[in-house]
Amino acid sequence: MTKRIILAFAAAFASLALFAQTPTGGIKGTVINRNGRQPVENARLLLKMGAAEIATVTTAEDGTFIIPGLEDGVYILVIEAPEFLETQVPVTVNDGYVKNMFNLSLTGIQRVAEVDDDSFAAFDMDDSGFNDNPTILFGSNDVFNNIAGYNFSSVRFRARGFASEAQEVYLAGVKMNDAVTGYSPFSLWSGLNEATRSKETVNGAEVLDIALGGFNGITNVFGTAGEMRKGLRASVLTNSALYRLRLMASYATGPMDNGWSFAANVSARLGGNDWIDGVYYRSFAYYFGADKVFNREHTLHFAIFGAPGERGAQMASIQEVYDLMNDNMYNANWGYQNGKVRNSRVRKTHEPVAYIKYDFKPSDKFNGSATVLYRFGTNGYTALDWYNAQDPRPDYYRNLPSYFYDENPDLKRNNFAKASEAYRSWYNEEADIVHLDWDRIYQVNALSADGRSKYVQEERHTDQRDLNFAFNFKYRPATWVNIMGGVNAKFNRTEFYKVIADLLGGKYFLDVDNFADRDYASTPYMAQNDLLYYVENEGKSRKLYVGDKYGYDYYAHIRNVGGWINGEFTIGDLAINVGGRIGYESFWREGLHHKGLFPGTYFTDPLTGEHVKPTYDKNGEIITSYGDSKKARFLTYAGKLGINYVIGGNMRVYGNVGYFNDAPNFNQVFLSPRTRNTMVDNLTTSKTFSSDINWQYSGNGINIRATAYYTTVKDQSKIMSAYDDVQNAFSNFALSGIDQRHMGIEFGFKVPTYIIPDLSIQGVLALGEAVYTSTPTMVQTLDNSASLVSYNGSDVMNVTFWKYTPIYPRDVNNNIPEGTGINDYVRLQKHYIPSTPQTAASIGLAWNHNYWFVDLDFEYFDRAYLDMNPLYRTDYAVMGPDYKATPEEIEYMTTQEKFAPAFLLNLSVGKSFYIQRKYQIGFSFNAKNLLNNTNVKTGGYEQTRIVDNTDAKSRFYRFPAKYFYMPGFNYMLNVYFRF
Amino acid sequence: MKKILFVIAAFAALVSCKSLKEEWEPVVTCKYDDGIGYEAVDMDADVNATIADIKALYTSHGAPVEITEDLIIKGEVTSSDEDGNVYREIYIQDETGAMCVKLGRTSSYDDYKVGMILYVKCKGLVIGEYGYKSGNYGGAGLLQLGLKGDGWQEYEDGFTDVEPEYETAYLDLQTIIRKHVFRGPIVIAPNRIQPVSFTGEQLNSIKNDTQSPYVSMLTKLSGLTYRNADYGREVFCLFYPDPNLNHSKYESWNRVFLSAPTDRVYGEDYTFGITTWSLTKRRFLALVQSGVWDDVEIGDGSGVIGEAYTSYENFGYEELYKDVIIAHPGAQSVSHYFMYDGVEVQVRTSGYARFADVEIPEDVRIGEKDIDIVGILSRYQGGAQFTLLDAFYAGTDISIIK
Repeated sequence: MTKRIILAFAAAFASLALFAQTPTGGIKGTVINRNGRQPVENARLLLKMGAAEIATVTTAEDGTFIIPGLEDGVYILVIEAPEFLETQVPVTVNDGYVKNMFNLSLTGIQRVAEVDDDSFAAFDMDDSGFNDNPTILFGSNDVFNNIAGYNFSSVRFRARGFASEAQEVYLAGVKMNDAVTGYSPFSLWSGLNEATRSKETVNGAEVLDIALGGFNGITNVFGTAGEMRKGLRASVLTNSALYRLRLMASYATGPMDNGWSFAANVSARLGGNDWIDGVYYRSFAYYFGADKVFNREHTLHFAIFGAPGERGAQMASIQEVYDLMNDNMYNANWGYQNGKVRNSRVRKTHEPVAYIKYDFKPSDKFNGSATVLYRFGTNGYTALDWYNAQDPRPDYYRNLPSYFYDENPDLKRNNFAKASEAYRSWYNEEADIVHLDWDRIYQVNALSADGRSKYVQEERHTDQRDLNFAFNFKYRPATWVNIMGGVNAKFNRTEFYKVIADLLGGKYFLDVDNFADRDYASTPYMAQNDLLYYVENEGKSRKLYVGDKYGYDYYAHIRNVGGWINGEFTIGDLAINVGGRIGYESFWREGLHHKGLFPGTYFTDPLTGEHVKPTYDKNGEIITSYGDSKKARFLTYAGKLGINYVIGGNMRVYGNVGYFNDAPNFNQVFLSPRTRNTMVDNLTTSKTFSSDINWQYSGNGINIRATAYYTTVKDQSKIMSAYDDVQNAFSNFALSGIDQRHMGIEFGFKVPTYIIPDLSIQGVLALGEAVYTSTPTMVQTLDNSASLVSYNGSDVMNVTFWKYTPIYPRDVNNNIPEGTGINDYVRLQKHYIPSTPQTAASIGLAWNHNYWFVDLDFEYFDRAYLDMNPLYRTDYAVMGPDYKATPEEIEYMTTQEKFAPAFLLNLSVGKSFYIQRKYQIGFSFNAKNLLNNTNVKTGGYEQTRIVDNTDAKSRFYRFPAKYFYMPGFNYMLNVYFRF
Repeated sequence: MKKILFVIAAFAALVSCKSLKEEWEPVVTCKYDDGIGYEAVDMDADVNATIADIKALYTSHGAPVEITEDLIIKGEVTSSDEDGNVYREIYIQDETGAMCVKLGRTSSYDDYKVGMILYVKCKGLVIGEYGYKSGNYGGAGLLQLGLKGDGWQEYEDGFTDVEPEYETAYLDLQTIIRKHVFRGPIVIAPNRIQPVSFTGEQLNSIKNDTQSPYVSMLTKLSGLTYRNADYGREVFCLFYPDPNLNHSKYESWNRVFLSAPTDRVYGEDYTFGITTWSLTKRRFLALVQSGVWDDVEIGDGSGVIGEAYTSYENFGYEELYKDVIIAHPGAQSVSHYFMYDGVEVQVRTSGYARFADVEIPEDVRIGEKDIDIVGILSRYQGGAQFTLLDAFYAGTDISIIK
């Protein structure tokens, strides 16, 4: 009560003061949408000085506003608008002038559901070399992304067919894409939805204030304490597809009188799900941030966050296994141990990120920020490892009916009785057959002489030490020009190693290479993973205990520096931006062990007393496993031009072109990084040309965007690994010269029905053609051999059928007529960028009324394709052992599998309530795949293995492909409370 | 509104919770207790047959016998595939003889230890023979216990389709193995079956004695001399220049025999530079590259490795045989010939054996020293064939393979 009286007196006193003189100062500006730069109508602006509310205005149709009659002083301007995140801006009125704040941009909110790293199951690609990292589209206020980002996430849609590493993601102005792989880094802040909610996104080759970016959009997560919504927020979420429970809480003080802002966000995600056994979460997350506004010129931000936890992974299987189990969600990674489910493959991560960001604004024309960001911690992934023991995976091909019987006599699989028995045991779901048999694993270790474990659980680590510096600025020398630019540097040292996570009942394990031990048994030094230890310990292999590093241990050193600049010129309704960047990148491998196969220098074999000679590559140079490799160095550069023309305030037409010369990633360069320092020959940069043209309308409740794009990417490289049955060894395939072309249209709309109040119709269409356009070359190496694998006398193979499959004529029985030559094809079937539908469409209804929302969307996906392995597309594979290619062999071996089209129905319902205008409570309920379609393939890969054990010895056969499927009906219920 | 929220919450709870415990603790995320250790079974009371009884069922070459009675035998494991010289088979022995069981698993020594007692329920298994050859230069093969040979099909109308390449097939599948093979206690080392020694006469006796109790036994032969019956030094190694292509006896253009020719010369060396127990891929490649085999004839006698061009019609390409072989190297099994008590013994070793690349000591190869060998006595076309488990300088315990 006392407070109220004092406040009343203060207000009255202030009013009297106002009467005493008429201030001439004020604030004016235009509120715009950060995406698209269109004006925002009816935004509410609340001007505060301390706790006192000074004035409230709303924006006009063109987004403009003015608050006149203000005293000199420091104010806080709070901007609110439906569909946008609340924004607070400090503003100083000086010398009685009306301060022009020009454009105040708002970030759109995505109301339907949050899409983040959690939205995607952790797919286990099992050393295949394939990756299936999804692209995450953030809604913002872009109508296409808003709808596609949520609705298409279930099929792991990739915008325009681009890989996840092409999507540039920034935090506090620092590019966060993984230094080694380029993958997007959303898992670092998984579970911190509140702390990372404020973000800005652009598509394609558009430019943001903090970066020039690439060709697949930029997402900038603010991540500062001041950007978090003020107040306490708590939510409880249950989800049937990934985890049972998510608890999340956050609190943000907002800017306080003393210039400080504090914010914290914590969460826990726990439990399994309805669909995939063995997949679970036990993940936590924390965030703490603080901002200090010293004055209008200087602001300091600090934040630290992390997401420690574990997440059980899902393994792809072949269709035969899914059919045997009558379950497309079957997961081979787990089994029962003492009656409890145990997953052998668990991702265990804790990679904290801390940064300090300094913003300074010496004048209204210039502002800049400098960030120092450090990422550290551990990233582990468990798997089973074994020495001279049976492959324990339940779906190993020798355990399946098809291994014993096949109607094709050429495969020589003719034991029907064994096939029937295998079928029976799978059909009956005998637990020790269809799942990992942990009991047998423990028994084997218990029986092993001297307690040496034959099976262990390893934990593969990719631990990063990633130090970043970024400085960005924005300079506005005149009202019609903005100059933005910056410099950045990255110092990354990533250690790759594995440790013994569990001896599984045994007493120790030995640090020897299983394959080398098999092939070079009479020369034991060659099988040593740590030759130095072996030499110094009189020919004894290193004994390993829980926590010991073994197998491989090396650093990836990555350095890059760069700078960028972009000029934005506005002449009336026309805005043009032109910019470029230049950078220098280098990386190298540093081996921390001498591997017996590639000792690199002279050792004395302690058993024989003889010199161990180095191994040499084809150029006569010593192959080393220890120490530094040669350094790969690249000069990178890019240029962009964008034109944006605003028509009548609500409509704009814009286009972008760009050219990018980018370095390959570390993981695309080393032939067998676990064993040696050898790099791919003829390393080069990838060259990308990107262009798009867009039309966008936003106003009167109507949102429409239409885009056409065309992109070519050339000279990419890739390394894949797999066990090669022909060579009987673990093998690496290095592909060079991969070219791609992406073109298509994107269309998104949301318009009122005008028939039923508050009911809109919304939809998106992504229609593209992302194809391979080159004939890459392939080099194959074996982990346990220095020499390259030679096919028909050549070390370098052309992947002749990488970009197309010749389609041959058919007779009435659908057979290729006899006498058809390999050049008598009727057409060439293109090969597509895999694991994303090239046709994706959604149409639905959205109803919003009185804080209720209901969205019902019907989706259609088509033209999704399976990831191809290069080996099947070589002349070697299509010719087979008789070195004679036939049309049948070419079609069979090179065809890319197309997934069946899919229809889905999704429903979202939500409601929020305000209690005393102070508290907000609400819920959102999202039901996906209401039609319970469990036959939708969302990805997979071809095994890089060939069946060569045939009767006629005239051709090869494929190993069956492995797939991932989308869960059937699943839901997410989120109940939240805010004040 | 409260009702709506309640309904939604109740719905979610119902759909989610099949079993609260299962759902909220789907996996154990703390440290697991160690699993179940080895648990032996005791079926001594059920044993009603001996290995000799099972062997006796096989009475006619070429006629594998399916065991239809509830016969259960017991035997001690005498072999191990740890060294890679035994492949997918396991040998058990009792007081009446020994038997090869076609288990079909690799690294089976992890589950079936030397000295372990195995009980085999024989009903449904087949006793068959491998390596029989008729005529004066042939003889009995090895009796094996397995499944019906691949290719054997029984149809509902009773019609059977039997075209097996081999008389028996591997058990292969875990579910089949556990129906027939049961693991008992492990006999401690001093009490395990010890290798048996035979005389030359006894070895000769196995030639046509199909049910011979000696065959498959853990055996020790002492004082073997490195030479063949012709008083020369000899190896036998068959390899295929392009193993991806057909290489049966009908495609002799794709076969190379490293062996003494039919017109062998008394006392001649027919070892082709092979001084190791067998050939790993690396050793094989080194030998062919060295030129030591350049004069070896191709199987059809059309030329020699170092000079002849391959036939375009057969191979699909035209290259020197030597280049074809170098392009397709592989591990090769090798037989070395020894004399033992007047009988020729073939010691055959897999190219995947851990001791494949171990040199046979020169003093042994030139006949200065004899050796003792321990292993499984096998039989191929009537001849004694030895699967090596260990070898020593004669009269010593100095292993020359480990």
